[in-house]
Amino acid sequence: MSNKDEVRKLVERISLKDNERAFRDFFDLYYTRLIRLAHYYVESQHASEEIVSAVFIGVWNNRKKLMAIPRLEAYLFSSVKYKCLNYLRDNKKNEFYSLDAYHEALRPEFKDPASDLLSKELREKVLQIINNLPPRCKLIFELVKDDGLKYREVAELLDISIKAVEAQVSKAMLTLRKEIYPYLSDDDFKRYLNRRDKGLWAWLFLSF
Amino acid sequence: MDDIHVEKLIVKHLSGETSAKENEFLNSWLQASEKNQRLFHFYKSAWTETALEYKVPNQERVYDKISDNIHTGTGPAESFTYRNRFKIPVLVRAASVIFLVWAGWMLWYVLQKNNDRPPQTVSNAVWKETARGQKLKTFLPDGSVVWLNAESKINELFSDTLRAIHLRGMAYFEVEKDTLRPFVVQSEDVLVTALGTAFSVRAYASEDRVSVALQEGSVLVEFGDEGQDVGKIMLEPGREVHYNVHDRTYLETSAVDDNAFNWRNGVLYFHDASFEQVIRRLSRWYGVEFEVVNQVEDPWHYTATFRNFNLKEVLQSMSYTKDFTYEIHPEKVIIKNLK
Repeated sequence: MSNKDEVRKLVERISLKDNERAFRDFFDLYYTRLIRLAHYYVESQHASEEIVSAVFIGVWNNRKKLMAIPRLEAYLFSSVKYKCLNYLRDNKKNEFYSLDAYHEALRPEFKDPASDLLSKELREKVLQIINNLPPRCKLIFELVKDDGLKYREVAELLDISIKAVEAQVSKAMLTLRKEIYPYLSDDDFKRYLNRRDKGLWAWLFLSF
Repeated sequence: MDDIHVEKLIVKHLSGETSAKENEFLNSWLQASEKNQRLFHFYKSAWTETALEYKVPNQERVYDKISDNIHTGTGPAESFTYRNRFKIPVLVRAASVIFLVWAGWMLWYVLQKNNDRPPQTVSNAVWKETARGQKLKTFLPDGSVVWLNAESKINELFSDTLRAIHLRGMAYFEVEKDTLRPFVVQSEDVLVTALGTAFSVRAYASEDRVSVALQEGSVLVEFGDEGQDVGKIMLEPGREVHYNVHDRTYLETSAVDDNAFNWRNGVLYFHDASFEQVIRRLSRWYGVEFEVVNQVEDPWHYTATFRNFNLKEVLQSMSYTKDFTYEIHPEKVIIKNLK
C-alpha cells in the first residue's frame, strides 16, 4: 500500500534529517488512531491526550533509532497501551467496558471520496453501518482493516484472544455484506470491471 | 464448505491471516463461478475503499504542546506528568523538602517509641462489585489484574506480608509475581494461594459448588472451613477443581477454556445445563429478569457456546433446538414452554 511507503519516507526524513515538517505529518497520520486506542483503556480525554503526546515526544527523542523498529505501527500502539496501563495503575481507576460516550463524539468521514464499486449513496450507508457497530467491534475492525495490524497484535493490544479478534472482524464484514451487497446491480460490477484493466485480475490472483 | 465459511475465509484473507493452503482453496473457489468473483469484488472494495477519517478535538493544541516540548527540550517523554498540570514554585518545593525531612524524622521517632509492637501496615479494605449484566476489569495495588464477571464482589485486604482477596461470584486473576507476599483468594470454604499466575474462581452463593481453574503458573487450593481441613490440591495449568459445598468433596477435571477463562472475552458457555441453570446464567449475564410460563419438568441437557451474542441471538438460537417461544420486553423476558 502507498501508505506504507509514505510512512517510510516520513520516518527517513525524521530520522536522518531531523525534519519537523515530516514529524508533523507523521503526527497527523497516527494521532487519531492512537487517541482512540487510549480511550479504550482510559476514560479521560485529558489523560489520553497526555499519554499520546508522551509517545510522540518519545518518537522524536529517539528519532535516530526509529528506522531500526521493524513494525513501527505496532510499536506505537503498544507504547500507548502500556502507558495507559501505567496510568490506570498509578491512578487506581477502574475501567468499565464503556466506549459509547466518547465514540458518539467522534465524527467520521470517508478518507477518499472516490470508490470503484460503491456509489455515493452506498458509501453513505457503509459509513452509517460501520458507525453503528458496537464500539469494541468497530475498534477491532479498524485496527485490522485500516491500520494493518495482525490479529495477534490487536489481541495483545486489547487483552483479548486472537479468536475474538477474528470473530469481530468477520462480524463487521458480514454485516456490511448483508446490508450492502443486495443493492449492487450488474451495472455496478460492469463499471467496476471496465475501469480496472485486465492486469488487475492477474495481480489479484498473484497476490494470493 | 458452506457460504458463511468461505466468506469468513475471504475476510481472513483480506486481513492477511490466511495460510498458503487456505489461499489456494480461495483461488479455486474464485475461479469456480462469476458469482463467487462478484462476492469477492464486493469484499475487496468494502475492505480497501471504506477507511474512515475521524476528527478528534484538540489535535492542533496537542501538537503545539509537543512542539514546545521538543524545542525547549524539557527532557524525555516521561517528564510529562499526568496529574501536576501546574508548575510548583521553587519556594514551595524547598519548603516541602524541609517538611518531608522533618516528617520522616518524626515518623522514625514515633516508631522507635512503639517498637514493642510489630510494625505492620494494613491498607484499608477496598471492595469492588458488579451488578447483573456487568463486567469489570480492575487493577489491584500490586499491579495484579482482576476481571469480575456479572453479579460478583471482591474485598481486597493487602498488607506487608499478605495479599488477601475475598470473593463472591466469579473472577479471573492475573497475579503479579511477589514471592514475599502470597496472593490468597478466599471464597466459601475454598482457599486458593498463588504466587505469580493466572486463574479463575467461580463461587456464586446460588450454586452449590466452587470451581477453581488454572490457566498459567501454579496454585494451591485448600478446602474446608476454619480448621476442618477437607483436603488440598496443587493444580496444574489447564486443570480445574470443583468443590461441592454440601458434601465437602472435590473433583479434578481438565478445564474447559470457554467455561473457565473466555467469559472475559464475551463467551457464554453451557454444558449439559438444566433449564433453570440456563435461565439463571442468562439473567446474570444480560442483567434481565425472566418470567417462565409452563415450567418444564424434564431436564434440558443444554450444551452450546455463544461468542459475543446478544440476548436475542441467544434466545433465537436456543429456540431452534428447544421448544419454547420468547418475548423480550424492556423490563423482563417472557419464556413460554410448549407442551
